[in-house]
Amino acid sequence: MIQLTIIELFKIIKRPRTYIGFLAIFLTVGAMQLAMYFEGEELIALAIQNLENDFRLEGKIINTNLMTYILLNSLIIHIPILICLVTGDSLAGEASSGTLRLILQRPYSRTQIYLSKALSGYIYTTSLIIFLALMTYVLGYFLFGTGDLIVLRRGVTVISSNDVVWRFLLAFCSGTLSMFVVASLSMMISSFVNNAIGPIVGTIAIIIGLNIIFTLGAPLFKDIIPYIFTSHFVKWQYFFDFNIELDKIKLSVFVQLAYVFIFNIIGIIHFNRKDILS
Amino acid sequence: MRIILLVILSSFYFNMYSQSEEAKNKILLVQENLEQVPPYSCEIKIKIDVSFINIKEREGKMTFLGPNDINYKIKGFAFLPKKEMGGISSNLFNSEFIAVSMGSENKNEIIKVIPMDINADIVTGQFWITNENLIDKMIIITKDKGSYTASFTYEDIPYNIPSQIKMSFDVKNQKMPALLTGDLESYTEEIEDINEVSKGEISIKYFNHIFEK
Repeated sequence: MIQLTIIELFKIIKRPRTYIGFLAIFLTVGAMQLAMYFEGEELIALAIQNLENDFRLEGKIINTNLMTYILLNSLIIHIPILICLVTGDSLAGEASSGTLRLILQRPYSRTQIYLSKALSGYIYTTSLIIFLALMTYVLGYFLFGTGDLIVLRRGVTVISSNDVVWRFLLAFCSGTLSMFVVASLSMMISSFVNNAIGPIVGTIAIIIGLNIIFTLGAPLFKDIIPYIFTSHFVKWQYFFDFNIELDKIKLSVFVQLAYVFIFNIIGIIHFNRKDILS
Repeated sequence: MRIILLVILSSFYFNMYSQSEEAKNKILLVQENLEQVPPYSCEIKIKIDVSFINIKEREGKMTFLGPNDINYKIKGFAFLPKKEMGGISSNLFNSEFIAVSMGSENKNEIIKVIPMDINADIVTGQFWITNENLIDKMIIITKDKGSYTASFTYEDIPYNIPSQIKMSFDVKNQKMPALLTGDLESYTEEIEDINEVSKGEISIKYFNHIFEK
């Protein structure tokens, strides 16, 4: 199984599209940080103009912690697209190029092959998130320095600079779990089709569709929203609350793990029954 | 009969006039006390109690160069009152004003101060003045920014500088757009009345004073 995963990782490394994600993050984060460096004061002033009517604000608002917090919001749409480029291609790509039949001739079960592809997809996802974290924090540190984090969520929460590291670590872990759901979904779709475009477009369409439906129709779907996986893409924000709601975080972790499990089970069952004709 | 009425009315007028003059003199003595304070620096602790702001107590340093020239150096980020209480009272006392004694409460004399300038930002101020001519409490009502209430605590600090000031003031509820904050979950919540005004409180403790010679 480890050997299979290493082989799958080797395939991922060899594919040029793997680096599209890293390049996109590098460019997006770089552009965003530079934009904030030159125009950030005006943007932040716009966000806090009401506060400035009532208070005199002392201290630096724009710093690497705020930049990392802002860029973590890219987990909602942007990072899932980059993940699908690789994970959506893992089964369907091999099916379209005709190498899947070749792989299945090896003395490994289909479940093992599916799981090794899923595992290598998760490793790629984790490396993408770590790259995002390092890019945002390190570049932000050199451009803006460090400082207290101001979170404009449910009012205003100010978190001391020495109290943010563990929150960011857990937030990135929560974000990574959300992206595992995306990877699992695209893997599952990948097992159903023989064209690599299908899982990528399909996953993105599902994510965007669910985001739009459950954001605009939020009051209508209030009761089912906690069980829709896209609603958990922002749950990392809970780690920046003044009083952290552990119950909600536990529910979020449970729901997302359930999705990862269900998507993988469906994918494995279908892959095991599938006729490989290409 | 006419003469009696005239005597009563004039004595009433003179009584009112002398009372107003007495109140004004008391306020001028307070102002004198405020003006005697030399530049100094001290350490401060700031605690904020506003319904929509979550922040722990902040520490820092304050440098006082004059009632309207106060600098803060805070460790990290902090919310400070928009108006300095010393600055507000100093500005009010330095302009033309009418002072009216409103009686006393807990051994403090209550004096209402009304600025003569119709365009002044402060509509009226009410001060609770101690026997030592120190401000114990004050309420300032402004044209645009609502009202400010401040209560002062004094310990053995030279020049009768307060060791603690508690300020309460009106604050509007803040609701930022979800697209700006990334808080997409707020769409499912009931919309609060963003124009609702609530009371906020900032408490500042001052200690370790160093006066300039």
